[in-house]
Order: sequence, then structure tokens, then C-alpha cells
Amino acid sequence: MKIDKQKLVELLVDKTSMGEEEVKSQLDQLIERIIDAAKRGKALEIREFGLFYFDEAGELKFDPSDELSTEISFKYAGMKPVELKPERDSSFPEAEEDDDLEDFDFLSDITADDSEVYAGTEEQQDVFTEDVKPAEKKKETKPLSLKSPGLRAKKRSGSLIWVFAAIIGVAILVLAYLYFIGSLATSTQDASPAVTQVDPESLNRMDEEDQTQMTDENVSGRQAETEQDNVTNGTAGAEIEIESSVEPPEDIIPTDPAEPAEETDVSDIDQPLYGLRGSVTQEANNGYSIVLHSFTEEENARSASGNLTRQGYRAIVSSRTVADQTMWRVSVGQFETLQDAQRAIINLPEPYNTQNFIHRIQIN
Amino acid sequence: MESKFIIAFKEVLREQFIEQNTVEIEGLGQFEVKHREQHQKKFESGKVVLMPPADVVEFKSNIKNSYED
Repeated sequence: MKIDKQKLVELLVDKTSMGEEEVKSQLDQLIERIIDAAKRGKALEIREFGLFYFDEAGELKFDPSDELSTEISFKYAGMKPVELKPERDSSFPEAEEDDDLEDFDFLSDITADDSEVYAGTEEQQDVFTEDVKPAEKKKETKPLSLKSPGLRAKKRSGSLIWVFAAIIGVAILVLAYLYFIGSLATSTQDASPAVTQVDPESLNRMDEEDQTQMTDENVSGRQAETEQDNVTNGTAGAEIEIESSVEPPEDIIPTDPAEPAEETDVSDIDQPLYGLRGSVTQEANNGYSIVLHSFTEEENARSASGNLTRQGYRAIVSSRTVADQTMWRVSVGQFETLQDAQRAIINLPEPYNTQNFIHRIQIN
Repeated sequence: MESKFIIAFKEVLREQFIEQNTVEIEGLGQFEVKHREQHQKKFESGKVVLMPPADVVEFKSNIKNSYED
């Protein structure tokens, strides 16, 4: 579907409860400011939305902010780039070779010099070229010494390498065996630590301090939900500012110093403003939350939220219109930044730790 | 300009992007959400990385700026 300016104005009127004319004039002002700032060689940033600027070709560009990009691409949240082929390794094992060559003074001198040269050159040298070069040097230097000792020396160094490798191999085997025996002994002595590690309960135990708030919330979970409805959106939310490259920030648009949020009775003591567990705090509703369920029926969402609240999570129910259908989302936690929310996901139990996405808290 | 308006502007646009709607603002440009398939990215160092799929917002504008003056 395409939203034109007229439709956008209607949506903004609904959202802000401002008059149509006022919204139009505000929108025009915004457009004017964006273009004005861009023309003066500045980039205008709308915080948590994106950056408008003119590129070298003189075209108006928009770079979405990380927050916006993540929210738009929420379906693919958590998908990370996968390395298929590693970077060519520039380090090569020179230490062992040096050890083997220590018997021969002239050779060790040359290889030592060479290794310094390699270290000083480009980082991304091919492993093969580096490995081969010292060997070539060996050949080149041989004619300098007597032929027969040189040959013998080479054979000797070859056999020394094998002996050395065999000794290392045996040592590794012995160590592995000892380690295996040791781990067996400790595991039979006390099996309890192993059990607690697997215990899913321990996964839930993230913020111990938060847990103290759990009991209060059990009763007031639903109440907290309804209280949120009264809170206006993003009072402490994002403002707009201009990042100037050269000039002082004279263009910062004065923002209404966050009209004090309607005083909410946050009865929690000692609870951090943001977090996964505890009770929902109204002041933290300008942040992010991890969505675990999405229902078409509000009743189902409320019941899922109740379950999560009983487990000690800050559970929030909010509705969104997706493809002309109202979906009731149940999310947990209140986080100041996307990164905080992403970090908290690992503390969720199965299957929530893999089946979730992050959205901005928006209480309808 | 009121901050209430800016907040609402961001919210409305975000909601429209999430619903994959194109938003055209006369006098500014057009925002469109496009799907980017997963693809391989090769670095000069020889590293090859498989990039995950993503929905990205693209912005097109007819507004040009001449740097002559």
C-alpha cells in the first residue's frame, strides 16, 4: 500500500490529536528544516529514526538509524553473518623451525633475519610463500659450507624434526590421559555441580535483586498493564537534533523538556529502572522489550502475560496492527537500548531464547 | 516544531515500514521497504561471509542540490 502525504497527515492527526492544519504546517516545517540543513552542508538527524543529508552528487539521502533498521527487519532479528571462509592467516610457525636450525650458526642467523623482514612486510602474506622462503634460503646457503656436512646436517635436521614431533605427540597423549582420569575422578566425587549446570531454573536466575520484586508483581500484574494505558507515549522520548559537521549546534530544535510523565505510583523499591525481571515501570516504557507471544485475541495475550508475570518477568501486553489485523503482543523486560535487550535474550529459558524478537515498547 | 509531532511522525513511519507500506512525502521523497536476500560477501583478505536476509528501508528523492553557489 502507498501512503501519500494526505494519508500521512490523517495518520498523524489520529496519533497526535492535533488539528489537520496544524499537522500540515508542522510537517512542512520538518521538510523545510531537513532540506535547509542539508543545503547548508549539514546532516539532519532525527534521533532513533535516521539521518538526512546531500551526498557528493547532490542527491538527498537518508540513512536509517540502527534502531529503525532493526525494527523493520525484526523477522530476521538474531541472524548473524556466518563466516564461510576465514581470512588468510599471516602468521606462520617460525619458532619451531628456528629451534631446529639452532645447530647451524649460519643458518639460524639467516632465518632470524628473514623472519624479521617478513614480520615487517604486509600483514596478509600468503602462508605458502612464507613457508617456502626459509627453505629456499637453506638451499642457497648450503654451497657456502662444505658439501658433505651440509647434506648430513640436512638429514640430521630432518630426523630431529621427527624425533621432536614424536616427543610432543607422546606428551600430548599423556596429558590428555591424565586430564581424562582427573575429570572422571572429580565427576564421580560430586555429581551435583553438573546437575545444577543443566538445571533450567538456573537460567532464569538472572537478576537476583530483581527477584525480590516478584511477589509484589504477582498480584498487581494486570493492574500494572492497565495503568500503562494511561501513559502518554514517549514523553521522555526522542527529540530531534542536528549534527553539524563544522558549525556549533545552533540548530538544535528546542525540545519540550519532556513534559513530566503523569506521576505513576511506582511502588517498587530498589528495583532498577530497566531490566528483565521485576515489575513494569512506567518510566521505562520508552525503551525496548522482547516479544515472546503474538495473539489475535486479547484474552489469550492477557493470560500468557499473567503466566510470565507469575514467573517474575516484567510482562507487557500491547497491540499492533499488522496487515489490517490487530495482534496482541506479549513481551518481557524493559531495556534502555536494543543491545541490552539482545543481551538479555540469552537469559530466557527455552524456547523463548530462540523464538522472539525485539520491539519498541508502545503502550496503546 | 513540537516534539509531540516529531515523536508521532517517527511512530507513524515506523508502523508503515513494518507493514511494508511505501510512504511518499511530497517535497521530500519516497520511503520504501525492500527485501534483501541472503548473499555472500567477499573481502579482500580472502574472508567470505554469508550475510543474512534483511528488510531494509530505501529512500528516493528528486530533490537535488547544486554545490555551485
